[in-house]
Amino acid sequence: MKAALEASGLGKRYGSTWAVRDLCISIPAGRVAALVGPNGAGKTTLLQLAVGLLTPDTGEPQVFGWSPRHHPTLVLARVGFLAQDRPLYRRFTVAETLRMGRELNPKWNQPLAEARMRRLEIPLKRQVGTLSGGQQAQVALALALGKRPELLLLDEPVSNLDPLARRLFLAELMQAVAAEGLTVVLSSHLVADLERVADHLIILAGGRLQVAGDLEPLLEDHRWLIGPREEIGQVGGTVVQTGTGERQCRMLIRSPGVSRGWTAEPVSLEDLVLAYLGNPEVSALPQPKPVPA
Amino acid sequence: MTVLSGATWLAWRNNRQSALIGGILAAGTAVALVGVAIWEAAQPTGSAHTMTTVFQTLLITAPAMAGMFIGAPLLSADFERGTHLLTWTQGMTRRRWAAANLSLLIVLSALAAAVIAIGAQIWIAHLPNRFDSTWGIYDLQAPVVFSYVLFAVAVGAAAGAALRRTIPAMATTLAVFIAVRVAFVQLARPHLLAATTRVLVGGTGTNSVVPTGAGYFDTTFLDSHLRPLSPDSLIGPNTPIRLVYQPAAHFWPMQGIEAGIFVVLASALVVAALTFATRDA
Amino acid sequence: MIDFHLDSRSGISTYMQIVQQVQRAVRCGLLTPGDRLPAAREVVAALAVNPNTVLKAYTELERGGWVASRAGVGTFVAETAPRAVAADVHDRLGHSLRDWLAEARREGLDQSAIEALFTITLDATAREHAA
Repeated sequence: MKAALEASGLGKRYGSTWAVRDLCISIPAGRVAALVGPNGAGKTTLLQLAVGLLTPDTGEPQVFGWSPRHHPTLVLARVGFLAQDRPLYRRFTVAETLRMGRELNPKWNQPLAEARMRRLEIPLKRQVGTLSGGQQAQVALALALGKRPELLLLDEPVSNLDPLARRLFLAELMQAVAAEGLTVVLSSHLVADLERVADHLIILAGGRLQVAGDLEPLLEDHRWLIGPREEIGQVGGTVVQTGTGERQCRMLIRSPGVSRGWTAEPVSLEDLVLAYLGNPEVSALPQPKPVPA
Repeated sequence: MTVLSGATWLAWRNNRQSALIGGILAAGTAVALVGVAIWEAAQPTGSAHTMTTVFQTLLITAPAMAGMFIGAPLLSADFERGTHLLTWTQGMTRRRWAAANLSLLIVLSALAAAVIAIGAQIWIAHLPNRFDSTWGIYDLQAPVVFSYVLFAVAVGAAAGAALRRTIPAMATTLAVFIAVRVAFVQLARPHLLAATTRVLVGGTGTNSVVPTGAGYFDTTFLDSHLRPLSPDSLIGPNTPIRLVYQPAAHFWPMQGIEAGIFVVLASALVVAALTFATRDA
Repeated sequence: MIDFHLDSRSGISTYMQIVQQVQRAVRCGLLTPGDRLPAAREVVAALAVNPNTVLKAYTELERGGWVASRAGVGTFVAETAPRAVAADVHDRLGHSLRDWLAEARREGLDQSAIEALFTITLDATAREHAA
């Protein structure tokens, strides 16, 4: 099964600054991947490269094996995109917005899109500009999902939404994943949301890949170790973050070895993200596959 | 509208407000011009010409207005709102999107330009004595008015596509349009067709030797060796005069050539707009 | 029908919370053998969680003998699920627990001391029980 989104050595430069550099990612189909990183880390650039809005300077993204630059119509038929700030034509009605989707996409499911609007109680005749933020987000989502994509890219889709609107949006998104086996890549700062929905994690820092992999193995591979300060050097594994108190020391370790006398606690997604964001020089990347002899 | 589909539907739905306003303004201008002309012609001869300066200004400024308010925002508005990120990630290519918008612009602008141009021509024709000479209102005749509107709109579209912000695009459109028009009038127009040169003797002054209906004339006094006289020389009734002018028969061919040049420029700018519009986000 | 809820601050993974809530409901008698669990799709809609999480929880419950799924029909509490504690046993144990807690507080133990004592004793007895 081809990876939903794959890239090797992907890079994009603006003048002398690299927005994204040397990126090697492989997101398996069916995953809900969380894309995390500080502002300016390259999340928007990566998503826009994946859908063909930008041309890479090095490398070439592949969506189910197709390059967005060389096969734009093939890729656009399979990929839905929701840009940051959810751009919509504010003077169009909801019905006209759906019509736009129908007119511009060869594969479009109008009954499904309308049913979704009815279920969410969003009136078709209302002007989009008069809807609430949460409703606009739902319209934008319905527009992206209407063409039955196999991959959905969302750039901070729930920012500026109140908690209830966020919950409703994610519920809609997850139902689409359940119904159609959709692959999702969504960037967000709200880690609590990501914890519920993501099963794959990508952390970008300074345009480079810092962490990439399925979420469960990543969380399994990390531990909080708490122990006496004097024995700090005796702990195996890669230290991600260290915090020393007067007598005790608390460290987030990747691939911890056996450490007797130390108390081990599980690591949450929020712990993991904060630790790596705070320590950009450490990374957790999948090992390259061994070359066959 | 169920007649339109695809990218054309989107181009229309997005721009229908400015299309309708532009259409109403163009039709209104033409109706006003024709209406005033007919009313004036029905008055007893010698009555004042109504609002001639007003209509003259209107016709001179109409192309620039069209370029700034119809051409420039066509594509720049989408970029400024960020909706290009939406339209470029549906199922059609950027080229289809840009072509649909530009085609709609060209067709509707040509229609509006034709309506205004015909209105202007009727207005000019109905009172032949309104202006001293046809050459004086060269810029108000139908062929060039039509081409100026198309050119201005194309400048606007290219500026909007290249700059991707509406206010700078409008300012650039105005500046470029005025610069090109002024440069053309000064440098190109006198040379569109070869002028006639004649040396004459006699006559009661420079104006009496100019044939009727001639334009862009230049008179120089000559000495007996047919060389230009120095400025402080004495002149008399038998001083030879060299006359360079465009004869009346050149008027409409020159109109056609100038209009043709501006239409070709407009076409080139539309192609440029297409290229600018499809550059990366 | 059980209503799931998620506590994002509990430190327990989402799928484990679902598993535990089903187990608790069965033990308390809220769910009895033959009762239908909500379809994965309904849980996804209610909680906005990854569908795989729900499937994983249901699979774990099935492996533990708590539930059984019938293709095309749904997932049901299995006959092999541990019996619910009887209501009077529940009440009696609850009362003696309250007495114990009252005594602990009288002796000056605070919440975390009580939790620590309970957890240590629970783990110790679990090890003895397994041995």
